[in-house]
Amino acid sequence: MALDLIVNLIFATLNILPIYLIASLGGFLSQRVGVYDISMEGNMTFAAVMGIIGFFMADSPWMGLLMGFLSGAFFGLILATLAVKFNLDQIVIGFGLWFLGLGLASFFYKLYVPSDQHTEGFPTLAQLVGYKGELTGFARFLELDIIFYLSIVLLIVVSVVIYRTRLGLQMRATGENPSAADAAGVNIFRIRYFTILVGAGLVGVAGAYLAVAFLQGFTSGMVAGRGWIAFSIIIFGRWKPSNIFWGCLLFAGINGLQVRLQTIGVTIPSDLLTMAPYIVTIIALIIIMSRTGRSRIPSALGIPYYRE
Amino acid sequence: MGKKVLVLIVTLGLLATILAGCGGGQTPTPTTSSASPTPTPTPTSSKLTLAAILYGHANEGTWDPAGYQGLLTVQKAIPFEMSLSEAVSSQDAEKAIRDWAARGTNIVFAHSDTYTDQLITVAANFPNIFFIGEFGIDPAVKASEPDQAKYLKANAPKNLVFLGDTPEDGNYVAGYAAALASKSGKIGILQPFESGTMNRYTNAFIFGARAAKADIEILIVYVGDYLAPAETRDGIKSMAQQGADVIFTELDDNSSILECAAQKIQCIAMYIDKRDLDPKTVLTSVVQDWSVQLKGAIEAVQKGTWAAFRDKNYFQPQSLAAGSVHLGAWGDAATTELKTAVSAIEAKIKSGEIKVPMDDSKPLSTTP
Repeated sequence: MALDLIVNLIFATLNILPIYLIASLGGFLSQRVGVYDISMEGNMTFAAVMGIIGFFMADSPWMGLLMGFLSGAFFGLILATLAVKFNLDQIVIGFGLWFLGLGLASFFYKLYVPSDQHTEGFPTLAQLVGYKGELTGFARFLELDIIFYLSIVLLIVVSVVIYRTRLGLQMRATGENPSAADAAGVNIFRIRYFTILVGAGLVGVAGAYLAVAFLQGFTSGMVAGRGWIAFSIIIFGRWKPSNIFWGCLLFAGINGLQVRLQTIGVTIPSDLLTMAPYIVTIIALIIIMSRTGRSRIPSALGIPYYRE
Repeated sequence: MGKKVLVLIVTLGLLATILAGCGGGQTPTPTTSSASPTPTPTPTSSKLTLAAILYGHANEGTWDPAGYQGLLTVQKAIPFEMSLSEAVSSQDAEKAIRDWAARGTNIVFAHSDTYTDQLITVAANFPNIFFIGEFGIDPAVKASEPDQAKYLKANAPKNLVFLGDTPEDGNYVAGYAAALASKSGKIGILQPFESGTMNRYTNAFIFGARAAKADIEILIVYVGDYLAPAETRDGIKSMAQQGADVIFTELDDNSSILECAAQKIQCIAMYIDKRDLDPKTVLTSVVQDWSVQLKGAIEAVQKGTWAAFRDKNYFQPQSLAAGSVHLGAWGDAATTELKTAVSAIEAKIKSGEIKVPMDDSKPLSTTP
């Protein structure tokens, strides 16, 4: 019984993991080149609507993800233009974009999303390999959808690009010391524009995935703070992809744990249980950020770059 | 930017999310609401005018469509010009209500329990406008929030009536149906959060289930908000993994139906009839038919009989007998025996032979 509960918790965690992982990696990329993307919550909300619209355009969840990426990249373009080209305050821009995302979501939802909206989710690995038997034990990995596996691939790709390629070196240099990178011939503006667009696009993919695969529709408020949690996971992970992965596992696991504690009748007040992911996030942030001297925060993060 | 500032920003964002989730007392409460509450007239063909204030959109989720459908039903019998203000948060409600009243709209209908105080405030300033609100506590019932009920009765101006958001009769019958339909002897209820009102809804379901099968096991999961699709689906999955095979959900989206279908179990939906969404999965729905309560109030304005109507109906609770709450169409899994048994219990409630208990104490996931 207890073992079943643990196994169920593990797979519930893995099931929800891609939302946090994709969004966090997207936000990480922007921060890695020195630009805060505070607007992740709004970006995800708008991308959720666009994901549903994309689904109905082609009757395909993949089109939903593509639209999510494009809408996210649109946010990235605004962020990059204002933060990189015009060197405006990144926090102010981020908050503005956050609210813009919420407003645009409401506007596009009303205009374009049919009231009988209902999308299809992504195929599981079992469906892809044609397995129709009962899934138990480790075979339950087959019941995870394809996006879970793609999110793991994304984690590996981001890690390799950041730490094992020339592009990654330029990205890190841009986030650490843009003046030195510029002097070494790195086109700071191009690197930042490209990375922010891709990063914000990934944040959008996470929002679209939430709508297309989980709700299979859109309702206001459905992102419910996940953009903020993803943002905080980047800090929790100390701007390192592998740590971000563990952070995502932790937060997704807390989500699954609080639900399961309720079903087995644990007598902790339900309000406390449902708040647990947010409370843990805040506590973890405070602990992580109070550990002075070991921060891996990119040195130029949030600092406008003026070419001399 | 300093690390302290960074932590502060993220903390504020997360706190905003938590507080938004905790904000609702008795109604579906989307955590964000960004659209302007500025009214957008939608003219029809009558002199009587009504403005509806909605928390979300008329075609979004299930709560707001229930209210909107109620208005459309009444509109067929009593022609009136309807306008909507959608995505109006509690914070923006007073402005939206006041705006419509200032325009001289005959009736302002605010479709959320969280607009109560705002309605009382504005209605007092516009004695010639009629206001219809909603409230989850029947002042005639001794609940744990009697002060609120007393406040309502003492403060509600004469141009304001409240429709009861009190679907307990329906929840009782839903519990009865769930217990009878369950083959595993274990059923579930998924709720947004705990509150006195929400506890009454949950307990009504539990009383109904126990009336059908005294030994039924009932699991309860709270997901933190009316709109929490990922948690909702995980909650359903978790209860299904624990053996529950019929689950009742009082949430404002369809994610519970999707997960019930994935788990191959039955669900009972809330607010509107969702049978057609998935007849194989939706056993039935608890339908709140707002047209029943709205019709009396709108008719009273039309006929000029408001004062007499208001004296008797400043609060109109929902009930099976009145038809303002009832079960929706049966799904494919409902057997003739189940339908017959449920009809019998409905008849007893309608006749007053069974009175659904109002218990707002904390319900527990429990075995008898």
